[in-house]
Amino acid sequence: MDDLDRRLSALIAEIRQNPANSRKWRTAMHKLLWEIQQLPGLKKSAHQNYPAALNRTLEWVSREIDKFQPRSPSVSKSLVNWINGTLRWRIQDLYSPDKDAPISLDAPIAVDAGETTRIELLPDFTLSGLDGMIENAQKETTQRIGLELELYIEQDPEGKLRNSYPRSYPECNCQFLSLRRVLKEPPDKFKDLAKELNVKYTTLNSHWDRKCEPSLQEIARNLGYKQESQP
Amino acid sequence: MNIAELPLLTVPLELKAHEMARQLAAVQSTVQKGKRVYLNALAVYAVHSYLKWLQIETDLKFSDSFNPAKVALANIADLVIPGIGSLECRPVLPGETAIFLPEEIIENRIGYVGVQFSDRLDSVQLLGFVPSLDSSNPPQQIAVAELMPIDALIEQITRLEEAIAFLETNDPVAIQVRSTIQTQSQSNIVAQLERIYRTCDEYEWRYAGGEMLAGSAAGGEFTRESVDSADTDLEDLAEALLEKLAEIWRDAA
Repeated sequence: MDDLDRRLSALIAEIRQNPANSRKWRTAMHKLLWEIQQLPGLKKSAHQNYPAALNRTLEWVSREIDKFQPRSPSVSKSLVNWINGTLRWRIQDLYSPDKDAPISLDAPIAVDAGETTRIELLPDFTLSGLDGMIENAQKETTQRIGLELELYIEQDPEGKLRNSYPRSYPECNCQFLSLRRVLKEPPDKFKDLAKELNVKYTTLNSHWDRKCEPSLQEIARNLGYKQESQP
Repeated sequence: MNIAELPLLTVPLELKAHEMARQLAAVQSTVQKGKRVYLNALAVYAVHSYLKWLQIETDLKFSDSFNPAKVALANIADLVIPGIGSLECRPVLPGETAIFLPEEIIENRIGYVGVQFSDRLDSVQLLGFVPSLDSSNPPQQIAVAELMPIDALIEQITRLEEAIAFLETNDPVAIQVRSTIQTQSQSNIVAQLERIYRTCDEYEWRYAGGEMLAGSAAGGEFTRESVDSADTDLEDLAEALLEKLAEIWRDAA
């Protein structure tokens, strides 16, 4: 047994001996997953959703590691084989569309689009490509809560925001604060705003927390933003 | 391999994470805000995936970072761990050497996780963790070099779970805490007590803890002046509770 095999065996033993909600189990699992990520020979795939296959497999390792039985001569090699046995299936799943998936990225977009699937249309996800991708996504979206909220804050049609301020500090009103906190990028600090308005920091801060924030949330709800639109 | 340069734990970012992030970014006012929201969502999703490997349950649906209106209003990247509290998951982009902590996220977080991005967005790496900070004088950023290894996150979550479990027992101290404190959630109290345990000297526990419990008993709003000798009972309770928790945490460590 080499060092790596000894480490793996010790971690697996630690996991078996402790309940899953204990710090010992969690720490050993963390270390085991780290070791697994360094092991050579894990199956790869060029599929764009390979990260999902890997993720499902590591979840499975966490649940099933008790069932793993190392074979001689090498713990690490048999662990890789054991993991690949599942990873192979998870990779295969990527090529067979899952009907239960909320967004079927593998499904053809339209019948007459032939072979084209969403996945093929997706750009490679990169930081440098993010601006362009987001710009397109925003153009395609007709109802944008972020935009509508900002318009509302600027116009404040019913004066709801303008007329909400701590007693005797009309300048410290929710519209002013929202313009500086939500529309300005980067936002002004509460501390600086308090100085500028000659208001106590705690007064301003609690007015924001107790009045402005809830008002903005309510405005968002009235603008038609529904909880169900959340993932 | 240099020990100091061991590779970090990598978390794959599946298409579902990108799809959720894209939906949130699409409804923002500008590309800049969209990008902020997108990267925050990926960072949160990555920590969610990691905690799933450790069989620690999280709730994306109740996390503000996945609420299109809330992320339009503030720079937030929280991940809810039910019954325990919220974890802030901050993206660190290539070339950045610190985690940026926006003002709005300092309060009510059990800690901050640094998530390293590279140009390719098919995976991220977990840089490290800092437990909750004192919200009265918070830093604006934390240097990546000052982060604790990600194991510290496991320690923090486990500690809070143990303390919450203790508060549900029939220990006289736990019973007294339950009957005294009604205005704040137990998880909130526990998070603050853990910070006192971690950052204060033992002789300060009584006063810092008493002040915190007084704030809770008075409805969350209190000033140093309002906490006077009349609160000796709360100081006694805070001290007893911190001693119990310290016992639990020390035994486990």
